[in-house]
Amino acid sequence: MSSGRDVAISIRNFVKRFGDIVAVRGLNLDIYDREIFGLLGPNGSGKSTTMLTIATVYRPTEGDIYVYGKSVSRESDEVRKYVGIAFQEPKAMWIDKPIEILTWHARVIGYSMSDARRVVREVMEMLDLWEQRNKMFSELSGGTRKKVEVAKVLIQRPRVAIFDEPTAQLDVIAKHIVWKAIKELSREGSTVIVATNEMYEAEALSERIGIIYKGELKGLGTPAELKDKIPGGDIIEIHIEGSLDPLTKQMLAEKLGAYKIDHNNGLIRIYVDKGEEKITPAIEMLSNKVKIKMISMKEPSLDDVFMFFTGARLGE
Amino acid sequence: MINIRNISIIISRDLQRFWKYRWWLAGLITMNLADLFIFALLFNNMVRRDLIPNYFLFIATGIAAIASFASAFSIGREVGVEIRRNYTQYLLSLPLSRIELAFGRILSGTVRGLIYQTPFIILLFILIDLPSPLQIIYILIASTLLSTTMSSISIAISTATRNFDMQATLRSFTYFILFFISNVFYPDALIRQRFPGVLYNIAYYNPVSLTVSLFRIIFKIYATPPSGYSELHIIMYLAIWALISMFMGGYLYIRNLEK
Amino acid sequence: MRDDLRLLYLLIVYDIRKIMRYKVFILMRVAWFSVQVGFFAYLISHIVGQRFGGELTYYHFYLLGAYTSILFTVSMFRGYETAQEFEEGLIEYMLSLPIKRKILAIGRILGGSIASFILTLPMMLIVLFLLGAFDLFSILLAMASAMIFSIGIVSLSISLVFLIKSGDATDITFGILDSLLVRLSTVFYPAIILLSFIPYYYVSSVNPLSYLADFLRWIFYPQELSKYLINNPMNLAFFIIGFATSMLVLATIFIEKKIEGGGWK
Repeated sequence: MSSGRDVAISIRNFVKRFGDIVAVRGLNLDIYDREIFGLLGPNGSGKSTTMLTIATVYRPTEGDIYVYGKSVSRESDEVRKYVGIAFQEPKAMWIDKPIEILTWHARVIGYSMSDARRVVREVMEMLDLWEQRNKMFSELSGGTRKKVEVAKVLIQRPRVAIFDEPTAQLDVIAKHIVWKAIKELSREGSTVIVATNEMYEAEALSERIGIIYKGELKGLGTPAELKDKIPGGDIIEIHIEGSLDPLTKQMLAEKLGAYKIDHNNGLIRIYVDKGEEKITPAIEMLSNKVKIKMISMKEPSLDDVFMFFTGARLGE
Repeated sequence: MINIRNISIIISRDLQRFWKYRWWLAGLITMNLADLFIFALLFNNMVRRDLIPNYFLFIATGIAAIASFASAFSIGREVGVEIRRNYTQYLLSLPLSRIELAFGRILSGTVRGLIYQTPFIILLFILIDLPSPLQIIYILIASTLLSTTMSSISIAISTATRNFDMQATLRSFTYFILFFISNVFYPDALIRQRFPGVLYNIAYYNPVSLTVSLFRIIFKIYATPPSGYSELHIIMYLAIWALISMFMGGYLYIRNLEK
Repeated sequence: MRDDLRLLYLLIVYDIRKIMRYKVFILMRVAWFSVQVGFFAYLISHIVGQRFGGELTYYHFYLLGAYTSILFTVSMFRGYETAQEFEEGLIEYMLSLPIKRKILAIGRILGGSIASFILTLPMMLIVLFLLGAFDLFSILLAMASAMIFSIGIVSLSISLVFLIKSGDATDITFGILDSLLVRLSTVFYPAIILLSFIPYYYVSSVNPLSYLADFLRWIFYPQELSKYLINNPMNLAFFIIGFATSMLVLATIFIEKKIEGGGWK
């Protein structure tokens, strides 16, 4: 993988087994310095296991992961100096208050008491948590607990920031606040890994996306690259008056290099690669034969991408 | 109208759960057997024979009562976990009357107590003697009443607060009060002699003490039986305990869950 | 190094703060201990025929055993707390923090043992009051030995939880350990009574509870109880120190080399 960018995290032949269960099977992946990398996969796909191993919470069964050149197997104490993680399930004693949880976290990652108080307040205010600082964790809603968890990493501002489903249970406003904060982290120089099973979140945040399924990496690239890898992924939709004769349909398919053409009730759907280049030839061919009412083009969604690479739908 | 089928379904669910807590049970069995075969055996060499000729058998009867008491008490722990995890919302949504739900849970504790206690009672038959059929019925009634009482009290405590640690603390405090301020480890006469008044009355009317006294009368191993104790007398006291605690436990269970 | 000490301090404070939140729990424990020594121990000492030197009765003998027993239970309870942290995922959080594993292990063990010691301090004061033992040197020696013993037990209990990684198995292991170790020790009976059942005697002669209980007895009653101890006082002291040190080292190595999150059953 030679893109000219520095590699922050290098995952090499990583295997993780829990007893008889193989959670991750020989994963190889490079994550670049300062990028936002989306790890996309359904529950149980191995994305959390991978992230927890990067954070040194798990130990690799085989292979290794290097964080800025440090091995998670042999130099875990060093790796943790770089990494901060917001877990999928918020981690806190239920009897604790958010202010206590975050202040302790700030202290343990190295802030002085006065700095800890200041930073904790800033982040809590940003996430709209300040009003709830003195409630017991058990009394907080699921979304608020999640915000407390995310706040830990925002306070820490680590070199490698890991977010495991950071916006699960959050409302729309909170979601955008968190996304903004994550992008801000990246701009400041953090390498960010976001695990999610939400397509739109992966697309909204990530520069590159890795699709992981049943413990294996199935696809890797920018959202645009991934979409382009789907044969016939672009759909040109043409609404016409009247009907299309079979000969024209065949000629159209040959000229545009279409994978498939559907024609139903005045709607022609043409499945092609690089659809934006095929619109003009399609109009030229059809305008002599039928009256065109409307033309549009659809790109594949990440949902389609995921389905293409894994043969499954998210939520399976 | 109480539907017996509904109650039996609740009991069967709690019994299945009882088996799932077999690790906890294994710990309890070990503790009870260690009390008998280590503590009582060794202590037998230290105890004044004029007071208690055979401390091993003296304790054996106490442990048989403690067995039903402890296992019936375990239902409270589960009720507490259910509250903590909001599982109770599901229970309340079921097509059962509240009374069926409450009494089903209490009786689950009773059945658990009886099941767990049975081997200890059989051990008494082996170690001491086989009582008459009527006495066996007395044992069964007393054990049922004690288990019901303990099950109800533990459920009432567990629903009193949503704080799990507080529940556990209150349960263990009640447990140890009933455990220590009883005649399990020392004769009634000694309690009366050393702590006349309130403490003696607590020890005397403690349902654990009442059951232990019944067992000691039946198995004839009590050194000096006190006046006022008879099988029926004891069963009457135990029945009062069971009735009051069952209604109190059931009422608190439903009231606190519906809050 | 300075940073390690700062983190060690924060971890110790974390455990102390944690236990301090359970004020009602502490109060209940003290109340329950008071019932144990004020009622149970008082009555049971009246049915015991065993006499010790001087004015000493079984009651005096029992009190220091009861303290040993509660300190053991509370220290073992740190293991349960760790198990709860596993269930709540806090262990994963701790493992993800920028703290060396060694510091994390030592910090949690020391924090747990100091917290256990603080929690049982009221019980120790009750016992000292009931014994009428007010000699400052003896009290400090007793406190130090209790603290060292607690380090050993907390190390053992946390290691067991990490090794077992199962709520159910933790329940049974701890239940059995608690039941057997307390009863197969000199907590309730002097060593000479245990001699009547040789297997029991052998277990109790390697049981750390016997060593703390008897060492505390020797501190306060060196003359009267010396012939009832399971070993000579010097050996008792060495055993407690050796036990705590070896357990702490083993637990630290184990946590440093083997520990990871997940896999909790």
